[in-house]
Amino acid sequence: MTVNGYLFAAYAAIWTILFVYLFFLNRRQREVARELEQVAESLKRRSGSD
Amino acid sequence: MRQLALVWVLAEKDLRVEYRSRQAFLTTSFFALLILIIFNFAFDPGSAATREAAPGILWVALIFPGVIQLNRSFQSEAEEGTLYGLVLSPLERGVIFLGKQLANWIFLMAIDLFILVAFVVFYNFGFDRRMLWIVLLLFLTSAGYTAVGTVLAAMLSGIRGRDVLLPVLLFPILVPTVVAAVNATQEVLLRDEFEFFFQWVRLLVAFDVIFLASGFLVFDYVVGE
Amino acid sequence: MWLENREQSLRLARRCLNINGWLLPPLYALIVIALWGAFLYAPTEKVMGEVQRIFYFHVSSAMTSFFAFLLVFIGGIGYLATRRPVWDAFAAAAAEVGVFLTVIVLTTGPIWAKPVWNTWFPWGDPRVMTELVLLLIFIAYFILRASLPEGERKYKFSSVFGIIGFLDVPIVYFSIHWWRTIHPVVITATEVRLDPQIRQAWMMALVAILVLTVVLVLLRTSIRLHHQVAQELNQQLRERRA
Repeated sequence: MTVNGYLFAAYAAIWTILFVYLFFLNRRQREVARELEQVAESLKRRSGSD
Repeated sequence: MRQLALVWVLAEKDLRVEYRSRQAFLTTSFFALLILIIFNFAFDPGSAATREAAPGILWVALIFPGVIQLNRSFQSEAEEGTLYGLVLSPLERGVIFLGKQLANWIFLMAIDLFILVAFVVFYNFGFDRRMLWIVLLLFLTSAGYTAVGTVLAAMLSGIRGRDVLLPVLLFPILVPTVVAAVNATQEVLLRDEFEFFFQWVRLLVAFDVIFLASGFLVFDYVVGE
Repeated sequence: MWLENREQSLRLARRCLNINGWLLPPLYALIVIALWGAFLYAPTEKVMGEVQRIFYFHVSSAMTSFFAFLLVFIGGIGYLATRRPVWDAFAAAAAEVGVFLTVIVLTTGPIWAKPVWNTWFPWGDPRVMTELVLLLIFIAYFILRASLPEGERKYKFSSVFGIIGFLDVPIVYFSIHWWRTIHPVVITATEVRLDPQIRQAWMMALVAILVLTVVLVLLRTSIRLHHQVAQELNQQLRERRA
């Protein structure tokens, strides 16, 4: 492999790890979204029954 | 026409308040004077290198102290609650902006002229025709300076730590005016030529027009409610 | 009225995250392709040698940073026109990503400039200076945000400052451009000779960074929206208890 080949491999590895992290961040945020929606919903229902 | 008269009424009010106390004028021009003098100690006075740097020093001395005045122009209004009165008056917000800006502009011009005289004396230039061109630069630069500065000062008037915030927000925006003013001054004072002078003047005019217009348009959001 | 706003915010946040779900797989491929383009596909530049490979991500980040600050400008106008906090969340997210890109530009820049121009920081280059001033302006933007409590006033003022900051950009560019044509700088701008393969590799990097920017802005927007909603809910609960 050429020097540039190794460079490419190293940066591709860095990017892959970063990408996995980014992917999980996005998924976590979706969970937060769902939880917040539930909280907002239940709060609305309760203030309606008050 | 009537709107212009209103702008003048507002500006005149500010200038009269300023004239009666004279405190801001004295503090600001003293600060500017100090900058001129300290630079003379920092560099070798009278040397060719200091003379080369003189246009830059002049503009540092003109730009930095201006924030004191800008901060004050809304500080007293906010403290006395008169800004509230202004906002509640049936004036258009853009008119309030122009009035405030005009007062700051005239005020800054007065300080700038004073500093220019001190500069000519300290740095051994002459009171000649070239100074008229420098006055033109002062006029244009302080217009844009006060246009942006008035918007930002109004915005910060109710915030703690505004004394530090104003220069932090204002100076990055002013970079192009500093570049233009210093280069135009160098041309006139050091080389006595006008090859690019009017190009810089055009840049300053563009800056003034853009920020006077945008200040006029956004001021409603800055002082509203 | 603000209940409606809240639902809208939640819906929009959700939509941002869903779009991201679609953008992420292609993004992975795009960056790998861009890396391949920069390291393997593009030929070694004749004058500058291997260092020139910095160019691909450096210049793409620079161009994309202008795009990010354009989004701040659009978000600011959107907020002032509609008064919907969503726009401010969007503008602030774009400003963050813009600062991130600008920092990339200003760190890779000197690393490239030193071997090629024999100077770390070319003060006379209009593009470099515009980036620097942009960074200063948008650091100031976040200082302003930090000194204001959450709420309408913060959104209004940040929008105004974002608009003013963006309007300044072309003026900065021309001021440095003229400055430099007047003082002939030692640096001669070695315009990169763009042979087709170099240009193609550059386009790969540009598209990759652009999509990355969009993904980050969307993710950050949704986090900011969630933050706004959480604060509102919190306040509502506190009011109820009082």
